[in-house]
Amino acid sequence: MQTAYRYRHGWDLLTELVLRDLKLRYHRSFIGLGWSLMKPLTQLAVFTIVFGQILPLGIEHYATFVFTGVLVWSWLSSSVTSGTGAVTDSKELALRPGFPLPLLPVMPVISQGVHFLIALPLLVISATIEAGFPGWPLLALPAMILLQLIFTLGVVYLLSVAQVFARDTDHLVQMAMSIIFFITPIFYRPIQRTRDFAFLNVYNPIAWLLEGYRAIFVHGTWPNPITLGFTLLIAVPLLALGIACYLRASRRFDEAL
Amino acid sequence: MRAAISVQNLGKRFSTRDRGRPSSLKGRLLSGYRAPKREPFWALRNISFNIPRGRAVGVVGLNGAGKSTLLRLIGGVGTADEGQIRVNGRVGALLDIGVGLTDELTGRENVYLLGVIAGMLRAEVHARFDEIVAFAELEEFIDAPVRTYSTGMRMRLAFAVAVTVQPEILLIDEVLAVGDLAFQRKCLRRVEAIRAAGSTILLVSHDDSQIRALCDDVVLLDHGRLVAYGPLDETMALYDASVDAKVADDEGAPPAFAPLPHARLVPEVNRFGSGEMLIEAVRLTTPEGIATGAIRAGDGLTIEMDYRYVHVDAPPIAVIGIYARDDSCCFETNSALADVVLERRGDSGTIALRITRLDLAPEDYRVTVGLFSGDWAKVYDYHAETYPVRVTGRGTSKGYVNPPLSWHSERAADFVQSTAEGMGQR
Repeated sequence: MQTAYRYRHGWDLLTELVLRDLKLRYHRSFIGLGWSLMKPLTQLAVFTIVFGQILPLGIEHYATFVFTGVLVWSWLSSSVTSGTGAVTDSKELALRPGFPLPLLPVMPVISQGVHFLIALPLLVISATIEAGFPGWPLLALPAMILLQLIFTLGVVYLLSVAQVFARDTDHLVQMAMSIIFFITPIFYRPIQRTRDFAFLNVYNPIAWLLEGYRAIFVHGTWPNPITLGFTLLIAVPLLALGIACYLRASRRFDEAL
Repeated sequence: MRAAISVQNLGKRFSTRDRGRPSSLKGRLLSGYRAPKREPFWALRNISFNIPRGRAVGVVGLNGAGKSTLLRLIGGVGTADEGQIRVNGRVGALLDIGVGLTDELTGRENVYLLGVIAGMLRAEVHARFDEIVAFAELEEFIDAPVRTYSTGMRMRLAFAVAVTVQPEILLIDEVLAVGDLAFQRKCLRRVEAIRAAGSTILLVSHDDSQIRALCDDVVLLDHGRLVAYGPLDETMALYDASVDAKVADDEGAPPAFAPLPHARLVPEVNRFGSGEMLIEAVRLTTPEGIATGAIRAGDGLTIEMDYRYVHVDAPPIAVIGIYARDDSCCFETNSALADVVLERRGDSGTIALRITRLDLAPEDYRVTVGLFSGDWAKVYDYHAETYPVRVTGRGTSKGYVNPPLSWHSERAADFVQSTAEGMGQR
């Protein structure tokens, strides 16, 4: 079959399946897609009240700061948790002749990404009110999103394969995600390099991503290209490794599923 | 011309560990980190065949024969451990056709979704949308959510989408039994049309009539081995035989070719006679000469007896009969009817009755043997209903006779006509 046709088909398949996912999630609910905003907004409210008023952390533009953290984290963590079961939960699709297997882990990441994109305008509004319109650095946003996409896909490819061969992976992933939530500077300022446990933030690609997003929204500046370079250096090999493992393992999916 | 599907020495191995039970971390930890012992299990092995373009080939075999695995491997799901598969052409599959059917979405949305999953571009689905809906006969309901559909409507929708793809090679697994009879006929007609358009078809089915209706050739698998690949009628006959054997096993019959159970002979209860000649041994064997206590209906049976002359010299008459459990005689014959003289070597001799086909209903029977004087005046030795034989198989509901038969269903008018012709001939 011609390659062009295959790519067009893959694209159609991806959009149809993502659309189905979105339609199902908000089917027969009154505010529909609005629900995708409700979760980060409640988290935003809780964090601003707790760490802005009750236990003030003294971070400037805290609402925007924590909103950035919450949105970026929700996309990443929900992609990873739902992506772990990307193959095992779609057994029938995975065993269908002609179904492009590499597409399976992409679906949850894209579908969660849609929620992220829908919430982004709110973040821009919040930043504008609190810290002023970010201006030109907003142009770096697509690069940030792409970077996060590459990183997340890499993780999801690996975990979805792991889940096929060891069905405990999803429990471990959930545990790991709740730990990572706290060791990543999502609602607090990155730990300074001189302090104890600084390594948790210094060697944490998610923290690097957050730093980039926050440069844009909180400070209205361009993300640090060196941090971005490091993130890219981690994300691209990770994705390559993930796809390689996935393609290799997918030949054995038929008997493991 | 290249073969549409070429399978060379194909082998597919499953590790038993992976069968049924998903591996778990707990299991690994409890077993002390040792990887569980894997006992490889060949789902398919040494399979080779070529299917020319445009042929319709049925794949038959009992459960666990590897039919679905074969179909999926040809469809590109999974990788062979041995040998190779070459498939020339775009593959379409009617397997699990309901996959992706989403209850909460409308029929319309589902058509696009299923169409794309089945391998079409959205534009292609769009172009053929009306045709799909018309085929499914769901014009009025297409904008209702699929959860409001009946089972039949759902399957019709799924099937209509699935058969719209125009593949060069179509793989079908047990899905033609969809909806009511009228719709099933429509599906079969559509598959025939796809075939007439030059597609190669590979059909897995347990339904003989579908295989017979659609296929030119048949592949017969048994426990992952290729038993036969050949023209429809010959291969299906082999398949029917293997089904019968399986039925026999399930009914708890002793395995074919088991030695005859020891028969008890009690004087004046089941053994009568003057003793001037003695029947020393009786053997039931297959036509190949292997001792057996059970045969399939329609197979041959040989009954052999050794005899010894004690006080007489003239050749006797041998009688052999088969009796049902209720003591009715199903069949009895004797050597005088065939003008056969029993041979004598020294004091003893052997006589055999070869029954070419034993078309008896599946039941337990007992064989009677006897030796009489040439004028029927004296009974020398008579073993009444002594030697058990079990006939296995299927086909009868009542009675002793189990002739080879087949049913032919026709429309009423034809039937009357053919009956009338039949009467005329008689």
